[in-house]
Amino acid sequence: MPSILRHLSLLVLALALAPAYGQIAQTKNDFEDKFRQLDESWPTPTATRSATGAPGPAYWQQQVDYDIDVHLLEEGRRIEGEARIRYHNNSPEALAYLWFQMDQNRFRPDSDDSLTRTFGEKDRITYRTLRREQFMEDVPGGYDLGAVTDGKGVALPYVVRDTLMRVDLPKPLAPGKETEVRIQWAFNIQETNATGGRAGFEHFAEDGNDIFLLAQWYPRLAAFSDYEGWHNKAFLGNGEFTLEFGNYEVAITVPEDHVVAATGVLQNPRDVMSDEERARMKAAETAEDPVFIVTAEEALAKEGQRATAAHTWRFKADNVRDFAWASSRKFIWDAQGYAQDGEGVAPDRVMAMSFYPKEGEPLWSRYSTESVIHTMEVYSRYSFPYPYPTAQSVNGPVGGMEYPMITFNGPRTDPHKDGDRTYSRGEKEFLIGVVIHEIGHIYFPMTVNSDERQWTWMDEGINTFLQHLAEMEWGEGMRSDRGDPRYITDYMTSSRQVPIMTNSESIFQFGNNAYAKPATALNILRETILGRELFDFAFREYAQRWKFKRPTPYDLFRTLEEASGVDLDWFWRGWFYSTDHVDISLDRVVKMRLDTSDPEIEKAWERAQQQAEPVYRFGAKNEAAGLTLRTDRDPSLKDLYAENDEFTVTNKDRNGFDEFLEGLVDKNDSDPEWPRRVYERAVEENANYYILEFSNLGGLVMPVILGITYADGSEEELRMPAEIWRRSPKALRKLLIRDKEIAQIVVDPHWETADANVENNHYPRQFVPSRLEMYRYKRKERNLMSDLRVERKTDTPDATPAEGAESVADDAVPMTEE
Amino acid sequence: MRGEALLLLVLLACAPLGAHQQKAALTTVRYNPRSDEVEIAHRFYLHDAEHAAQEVTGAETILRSDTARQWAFARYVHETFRLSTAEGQPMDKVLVGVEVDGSLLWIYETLPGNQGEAIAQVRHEALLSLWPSQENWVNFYDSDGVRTLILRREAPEQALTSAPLRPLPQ
Repeated sequence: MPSILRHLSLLVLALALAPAYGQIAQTKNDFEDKFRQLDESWPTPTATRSATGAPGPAYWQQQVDYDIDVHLLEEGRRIEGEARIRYHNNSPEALAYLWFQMDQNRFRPDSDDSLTRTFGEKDRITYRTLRREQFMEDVPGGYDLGAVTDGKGVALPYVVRDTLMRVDLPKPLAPGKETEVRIQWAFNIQETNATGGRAGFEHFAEDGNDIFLLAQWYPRLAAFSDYEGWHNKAFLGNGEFTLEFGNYEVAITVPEDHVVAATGVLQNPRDVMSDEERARMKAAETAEDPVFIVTAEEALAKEGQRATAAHTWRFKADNVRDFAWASSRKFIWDAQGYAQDGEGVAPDRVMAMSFYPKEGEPLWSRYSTESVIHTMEVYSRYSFPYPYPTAQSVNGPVGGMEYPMITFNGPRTDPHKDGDRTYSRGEKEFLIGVVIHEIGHIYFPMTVNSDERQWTWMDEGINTFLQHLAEMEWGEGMRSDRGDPRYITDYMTSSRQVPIMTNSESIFQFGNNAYAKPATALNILRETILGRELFDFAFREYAQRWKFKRPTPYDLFRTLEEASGVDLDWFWRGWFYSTDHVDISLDRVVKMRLDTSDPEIEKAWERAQQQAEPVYRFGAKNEAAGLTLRTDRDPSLKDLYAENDEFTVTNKDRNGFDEFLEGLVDKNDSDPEWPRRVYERAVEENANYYILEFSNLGGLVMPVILGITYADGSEEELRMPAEIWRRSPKALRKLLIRDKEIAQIVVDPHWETADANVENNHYPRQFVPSRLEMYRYKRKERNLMSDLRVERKTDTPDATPAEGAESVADDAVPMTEE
Repeated sequence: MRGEALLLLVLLACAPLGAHQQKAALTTVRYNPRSDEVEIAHRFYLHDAEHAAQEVTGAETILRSDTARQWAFARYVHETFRLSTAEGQPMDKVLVGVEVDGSLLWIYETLPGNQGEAIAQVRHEALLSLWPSQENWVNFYDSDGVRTLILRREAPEQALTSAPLRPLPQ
């Protein structure tokens, strides 16, 4: 090797081994600063994103307007569309090309998603896997592109790369200018139950009809932002999307007997709705309960027909970041107006609507639209008035997915063998929970436009947190698990997790990582760290600041700190940047008393201590045996020790105490007598001194919350901020001085910090039953609605034993272990 | 018989993929000195389990309110979660119970005595055939802390590679 190259390679090696410039590291001892500020990790504030977490004075974002004509070809289960797209370049940069998201291409056999799917079964293959493979072979997926032109019809060059398409412009689009692109396309609709996904059709073999859910269905302009440029990350199936806001006019042509639900407001009801349906809609605007626009009977009647003509439903939606729609002749349709104070920036009336087949009944007509309205009531209180004129819940094959003004929600009631469609409490709560979650997404991220393809937790976590608040306000004892700290501990103790701040496609366990853990973190931040008043103000500030804008995680972190006035870097570091968990152990409690040095007090106390010890029984047994003591038999042997024990106070002791008191001065202080006064007060108060020893076994620093029970039965709750760990994050000691004697101490008595091991939280130690032990005491959930319909066999039980009944005399009496 | 692998078709099919299904199970394994048994608690999101239950139990299913179907699902999990020794011997677990708690479905099993130290191999196939993204996490708790195995369709069986499971300090 030539020497110059050798030197060069040595230099490269040396650079690689050197610590990164500017990196701060603890290079002596193992101290870990859990409270190190995060500024070194966060992006430097700019003119577009302020250090306060607010949009900066030079904030900008692009705008994209769409004018779309689309036809649903029911027989072929195919979409054909044409879009006129106006792109407004509000950025300070000239753009030579535009990137489009072409998410339907995910279903091509040569897509990154298809090619990176792995098969790990050793000796079997499922029918589901085969069904998917067969469908994808029979029904080609992905976009069939037609003409791609400018506004004058001149062809534009383009390149498709997996789920992205680059369209090259004739000349760079200058800042402040706009351009038009026209695209024709078609694709075969996926059967959701075969290939999965967030849209598609569902076929009902019983009546031969389909429900069509159309989402991510047209070439959508990718986002272009101040912090990432083009957001051109291919779609692999997990990270959903972010887009630009814009105005949409969409004409949807479907069979005449279909009902269409879509983002936006219907512009031509006279063309597609009957007079009666329009009258019902008018009545629904001010109704107290949902009003059927299309009844179950009317929907059922259409199931046996096939219209030969078509209807074009025209929708208009302003300032939305996407557009989705649904179509079927099976849809029952109900609606109810929701009145709100739009604060001059949002509608004062929102039409809450639900669309569902008979298979969703009776649950859907009872609870879907009610849940939509409940969501708006609760979410608006914590963020901003619902920003759009419609809020819709549509049942179909997708378990749950959100788009502006429209959501797809999967839960139904399965018929029992006898055709009964009663539902359990759990089924009802399942539907309510899914509707709340998906409608909630219209706030986050459809309005607060975070990027789910990068950060799933930013909308799923925040939305799940608000869902928890909404579910807890529903009533009837509705349970809400995601957000309750006790349910996240098993996940947080796992050794294989990744931090919340992980890209969407690299997450293990989406549900816990991106939904439950951030929701729990925010709930703890509200309930335990900041308190509701501070948190709610700060969170609403975040929502208001970033409504119709594009926040990053750092904008959220900065806003919550800046608006609450509390340094939360330690909280973000622990909950969002690490995989630590919470386990604070109360290892030892040492009770102490003040050594007064006063011999009158101390000797008496020592004597009392000795007398409190169990008596050595040897002497008593001797006495019982009739043995007498020599000194009793000959008193002349007794001297002064017979009248004075080791605790007798002498003048020597008293003189020493006097000297001690005289020494209680601080000659260096302007008030040299202060030690004497402190001493005398402590003696007078005669308090109990407790030293509590804690260890932080989980690594995540959190407030130390103590429930203290005193010997007299009274109670105290002591809440010490997390900063108590700042100089000693692994272990600490805390002094408690109390007038009363402590009988019991419990760390985190309300289970509000997600402490993973509550057995080490108690002084004195206390066994906490495991889940399995608790199970043995519990009763199971019942279908109360069904059980209540069962008739009593006899009003008065017959005392005569039934024929064939045997004696129970030898049976075990049912008992429950306490 | 020729050396080609034989693919067995398994009748587990067609649960729809929802954008917000959790597709995750979490199992904890820990020794309880009070009962002198290794407690195994499987936690499934009911959201997932209800979609899958009809397929795995082969009957119409309202899992939340149907105790019999819950037990059928529990037996399915009991059979698809397997522990074995270093010699490859399957360990005899006892299916203790099943319950719905809010949005969660819990299934409980035990290993009599403190057999934790004998666990060498873990297989957890529940729901793996239904969804490509299903992940079954198993947390083993012992005096050293927690060790997590993540079992997926491509790797439904893994070894506990470090020290054998030791009892928790009493």
